[in-house]
Formats: sequence, structure tokens, C-alpha cells
Amino acid sequence: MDRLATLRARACRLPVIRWFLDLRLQILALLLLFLLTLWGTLYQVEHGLWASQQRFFYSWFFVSGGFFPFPGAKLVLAYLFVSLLLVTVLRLSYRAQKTGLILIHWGLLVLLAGGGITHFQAVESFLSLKEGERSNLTSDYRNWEISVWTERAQATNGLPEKRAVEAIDTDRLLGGKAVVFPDAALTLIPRRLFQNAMPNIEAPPSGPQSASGFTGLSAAAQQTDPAQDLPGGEFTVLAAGATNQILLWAGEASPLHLGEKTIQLRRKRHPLPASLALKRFTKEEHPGTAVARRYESRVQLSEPRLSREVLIRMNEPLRFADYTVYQSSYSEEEGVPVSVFAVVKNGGRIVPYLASVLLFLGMLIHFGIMLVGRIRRREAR
Amino acid sequence: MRSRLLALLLPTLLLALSCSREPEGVRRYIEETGALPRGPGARAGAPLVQFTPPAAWERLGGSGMRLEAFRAPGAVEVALARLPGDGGGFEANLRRWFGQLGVAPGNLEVQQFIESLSNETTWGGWPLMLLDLSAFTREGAPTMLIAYAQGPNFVLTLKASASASALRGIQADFNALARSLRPGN
Repeated sequence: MDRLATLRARACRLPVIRWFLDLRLQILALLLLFLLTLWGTLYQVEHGLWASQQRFFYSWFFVSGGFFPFPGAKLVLAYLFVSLLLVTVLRLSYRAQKTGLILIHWGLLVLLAGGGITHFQAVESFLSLKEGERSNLTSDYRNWEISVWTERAQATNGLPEKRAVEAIDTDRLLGGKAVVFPDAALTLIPRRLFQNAMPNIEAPPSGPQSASGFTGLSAAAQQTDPAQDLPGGEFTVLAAGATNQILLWAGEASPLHLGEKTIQLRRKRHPLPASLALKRFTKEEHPGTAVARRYESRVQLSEPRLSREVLIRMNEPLRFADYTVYQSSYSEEEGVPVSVFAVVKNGGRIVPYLASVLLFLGMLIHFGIMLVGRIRRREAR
Repeated sequence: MRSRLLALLLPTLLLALSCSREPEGVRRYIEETGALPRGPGARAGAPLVQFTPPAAWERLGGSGMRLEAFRAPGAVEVALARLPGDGGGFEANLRRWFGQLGVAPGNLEVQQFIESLSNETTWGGWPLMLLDLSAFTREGAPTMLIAYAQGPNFVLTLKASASASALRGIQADFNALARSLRPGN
């Protein structure tokens, strides 16, 4: 035990560890966190939520005023996590009387770790379904993919038709290296890539082919939020002994058919462990206006072993496996309602609940011990 | 000692888990493509576009994205094109047309021009903007008349390029053609 105490004391004297145990720095970190939250909130009014998140909350550092480096929330939270961890391990006294405090420290650590898991692991995407449509894939907001599949007519016996898709994220094409899709026996060679593009309908008609008939693409100014960009590019495709020059553009609703092969540049797809079918979408408007008061979607959730009907409303999401499906918005396409769901996959969504339980128990035990001690002292007097 | 080791190991494990990344390269997944029976009013495929051309205009046919081309009096060529999605955005298209005319108005001028445009709808209920770019070009230089209609999942542009005086002669018919745009059967 003495040896352990000596080790802890020795560790506490290490300059790096002292830096993390410094109360003044810990308070400074909390003040910085407050400042970043306030600054980020004001910044998003003019620059949008995405830009604000990237600059203040998802960065280690950012440059303010063109030259002044400022720590981002990621750095501040990482410091606070390590700091709290070291305090918990090196400073905290592990005695029965301190059980409450120990649990509170662990609760805070789990809470911060949960934030880290959500930041690095959570995937946000969306799913748009017309009444009567089903899907087992969601679409990314800002990432794109080139997907390839082979069209094959097949009997489905009333079951949902399925196709095997091979896809590559467009950000992996930036090096210009050829990509081989083994199942489709197709090679894609990027020639020109645009982060944001638009069709050039004045291009010579003999140019590369595209799904929508345009023969040229030109660069367009990038938007503040990449979710609004429509990337595109020119590619050489080698398949079945033939070479084709093609254009792919994210704004095209239809894929390009090259014989049996089909290729499309589209939002990155995220497979769900189930499929969702929209059975009915209902919207209720405020009287005399077109402003929605309430809208909800009745969906059929088909998991491998179970199929059930679920109602998804605003503030009443559907939760299954690691997924939460929120009713996000709606639109109309050719007179048919389209329901839009925000889908969040978060493997750590239980962690904040666990942290809350630890914090609650910690406070209950800590204040309970204090209360008992106070009563005993009063009785002793 | 063991509890302290655990105290160090657990958060490290959590951090390591949180930093794992998806493997690089080609991904594979299964996509369900079947749909339940569509609700009333739903139609498969992209909608066709219908319009009513002025009687004096000659139809030249179209291909690909160019749905139709016309020859208007004064040998002015007019083209109706269909772009998928939002066609790259209205402002980006507008700047492209300015580029084709060899003019580059400033941001403020462009914004003021956009704000001055009146919003109409076509017979088919699609939002329509009618643009006359002659204010940006020199007298006698080629200029453009543009109609920009936003469909449900596409954009229609009707474009005529000629001298300002030639365009003035067809402007009424041009606007009438743009307003006649509607979904096909």
C-alpha cells in the first residue's frame, strides 16, 4: 500500500501530469468551453450550423482573425477528460466513505467518453420515402459514392427485389488512381473531378456520355455547407472489353447504363439492419394556413426476425439496434407525400444513460453519507 | 493496484473504440429496390414536359437534355433544356450565362438583379422566372432571354440568344411559351 502511495506521489510530481492536475488550467478549460459555446452559437447565425460545428467544436485548433490560434472544443474536452482521469486515478482516495465521489468522477468520465464515442462513431444520414416505398439504405448528407451494379432480371416472388452493389467513396478517388469493382468486372479511372459541378449543355455533342444526356461538366463555386454541393467528374470505364468515356454528376436522378452495368454518383449509402416502408404519411395544418401543426409517418419496420408497424412522430423517434429514426421533414413529389427521416447510428447512445445512473448514484450516496454524518454529529451533541 | 489498472484501461479502451475507422476501398452492400404498391397519383419515371409553341415558330426537334429547339422569326434560335435535380442552382446558372455573354457583374449587382425578378408559375404550376439580360450587355452586342422553371426533380431552361432588338420582337411569344410549360401525361 505504501509502495502504491509512493508511486502516486511520484507520478503527481511529473511535469506533464502536474500540468493536467493544475486546478487553474482546469478552470481555464471550463471557461474556454463556455467561450467556445457562446462564440459558436453566435457564429452559426451568419455562417450556418455546419460551419460553426467544424470551426469551434470538431477542431483541435482554429485560427481566429487570420493569425491568432485558438483551441477548439475537441482539444479542451480531451484535456478535461485526461485531467479528470488522472485526478480519479492519482488523487482520489478509494475508501468506502468516498464511494459517492468516486462514482461521480466515474460518471463524468463515462459522460465525456460517451461524447467521444458519439463524435467519432455516430453516423448521421437521412431517408426519404414516398408513400408505398421501402428502403434498407439511408443517404449521407455530405459524403458521396460511386456505386456500380449489374442489372439482372429475376423473379422476386412478391419479395422485395434486391441487388448487390459495389461502391467507393468519392473522396478516395482524389488521387486519380483506377478503381476496380471486382464483382462487376469494371474498372473506373477518374479523369477530372469537381467538388461542385454543373452540366454544360453547350459542350460539343460528341463528348462523353452521361445519364441525362449532357456531354460536358464545368466547375461551380463550392457552397459554404458541402451538403449543398453537387460533385461530378469525367471517367474512363473499362468493362467487358470496351472503353467508355462517361460523365457522372450528383444532380442526376437516374443512373448511367453501360450494357448490363449500371453506374451512378450518388449520396453515400449506409445499410440498415432492417428495411423501412412508409405505409402512410399524415400532416395536420394550423386552421386556415399551410403551416404544418403536426406530421407523422406510419412505417413498417422489417427486421430479420420481426416485422412490426410503428408510428414515427416529431419528438417520438423510432429506436432499434443502434439506430434512432426521427421524423425530420416532408415534401411532395408529383402529388405524393414524401416523408423525410433523420437517421442516427450511434453505438454509444446508451453511454450517457449509464453516466447519468453513475452520477445519480454517486450523488445519492455522497449526500446520503453526509446526511448520516450530520445526524450522528447532532445526536452526539 | 488492480482497480487503478482497470481505471486506466477502461477509458483507454473506450477511446480506442471511438477512434476506429471504416476500412478503405470498395464496399459491398445489398440494396432493396422493390416498392410497395404506390399511392394514388404516383407515376413511375421522370415526367414528360408539354408546352404550346407560338404558331409562327418552327420546331427543330431535340435530343438528350435539349428537349426541343425552335426557330423564331428573325432566325432567332430558342432552346428548351431539362436539367436534372436543381440544375446546379439558379445563381450558378445565371453566372454561367453571364460568362457566355462575356460580362461579369459584381455580387451586389447580381443579387439586386435576382431580387428584381418577379416570380410567376407555369401552367403546370412550376415556379417560373423570366430573365432579360440585355441590361448587362452593350447596345448591339448579343444578349439573352431566359426562362427558368423549377420542376419537382428537374429544371427547365428556355434560352434565346440574339441582339437585343431581335429578342424584343419575340419576347411576348417567348414568355408565352415559357408560361405554357406543364407536365405531360
